[in-house]
Amino acid sequence: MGIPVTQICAVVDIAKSVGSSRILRGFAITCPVGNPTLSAEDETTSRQRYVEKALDMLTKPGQSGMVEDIL
Amino acid sequence: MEQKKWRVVCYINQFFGQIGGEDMAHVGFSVKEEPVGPALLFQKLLQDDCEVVGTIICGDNYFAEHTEQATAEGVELVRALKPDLFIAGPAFNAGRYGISCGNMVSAVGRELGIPTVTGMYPENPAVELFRKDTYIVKTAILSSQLRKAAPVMASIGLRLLKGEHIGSAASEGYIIRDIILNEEQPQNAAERAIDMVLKKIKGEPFVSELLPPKFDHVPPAPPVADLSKVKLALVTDGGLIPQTNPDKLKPNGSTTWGHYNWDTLVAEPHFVIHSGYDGTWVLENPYRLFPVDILREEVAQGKLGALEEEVYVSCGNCASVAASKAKGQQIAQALLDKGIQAAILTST
Repeated sequence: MGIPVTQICAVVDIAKSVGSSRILRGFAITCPVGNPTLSAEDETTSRQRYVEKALDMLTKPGQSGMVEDIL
Repeated sequence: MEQKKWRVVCYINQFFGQIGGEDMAHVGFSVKEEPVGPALLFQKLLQDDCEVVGTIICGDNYFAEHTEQATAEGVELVRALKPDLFIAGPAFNAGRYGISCGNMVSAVGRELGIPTVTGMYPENPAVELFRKDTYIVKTAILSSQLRKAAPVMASIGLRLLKGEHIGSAASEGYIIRDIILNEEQPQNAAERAIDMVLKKIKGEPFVSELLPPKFDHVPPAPPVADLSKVKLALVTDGGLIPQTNPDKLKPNGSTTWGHYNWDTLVAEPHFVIHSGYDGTWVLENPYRLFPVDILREEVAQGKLGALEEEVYVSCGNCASVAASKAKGQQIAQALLDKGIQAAILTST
């Protein structure tokens, strides 16, 4: 059965090459979930979008190598 | 004066041992102090330097159904014949025979410290299990091709006895063992690299000297039916750990991982051990690596069932695929043991 995993990362090609099936493009290598250039409040909002997208991806069938972005 | 000949022992199954087919696959070990079946061919090929002093025969089912015990039993029979070289099979594409040949060459090589060689069809499932332990010469699917594989096996075996050089897997015809071979090349690395890049530019075929690691095909895990009922865990390869580094993670090439209560981790001294990225942004706000803040809100709002209080941390810098796979399996097992049904993995 396995545990569904959403992988959040900036270097999506590595996640693709090792066979991840729910890949969400993160903000940066040094900051996967957030955006340090924003105000604290806006960064929290941005993180919420990453997390809600990642959770949503867990409820859908995965596909090897498929990459999603936050809109 | 005639030189003393090397002693060779062969291993074959009940079919090649002329005991019988599937109806006799249950029979245990027997020893003939002479070459039998394929061993006759090896005797002929090696006759100038060697003598096949024994053939060990075992039923496919007997071996495959009690692998550990059968291997131990077989090794003792081989040891009693005091061989200098051990040849098993070839097993071609036979699954159980591949397992017995693989186990025998692997154990004999390890316990008796003598050279071993076997032969299999490259897709025989035993190949992946034993290819690093011995020389597995590539064979065809069917045993009618014995006469093609046996001379290659005999030649490798003889050169191992003489301490002579065995070339690369591709040039010799055995299955790659992942051993780095020292061989002098007529051209230095710079010349070879330039040759290669010129061929690449011209669109001509070229052979890389580096093999990319082999990745498994991972079937996607089924989705969660209802997020409000699952417990989710956070995992990272970003290396955020307690200052005390209790699990002895390394800045690169780490083979260990840890799990830490989130609130304790951030309340007490912590750091980023991963030496392959700048941890400033993560240390400034660890939620950028582990979005615990948002996930706790999701739980409070009833959108997510629960969040595991411990976070799972590895350090992915310069990690080999094999080490990462082992760590991944250990972490997955730990999550299963805790009843976790979903995970978010952040990678730096």
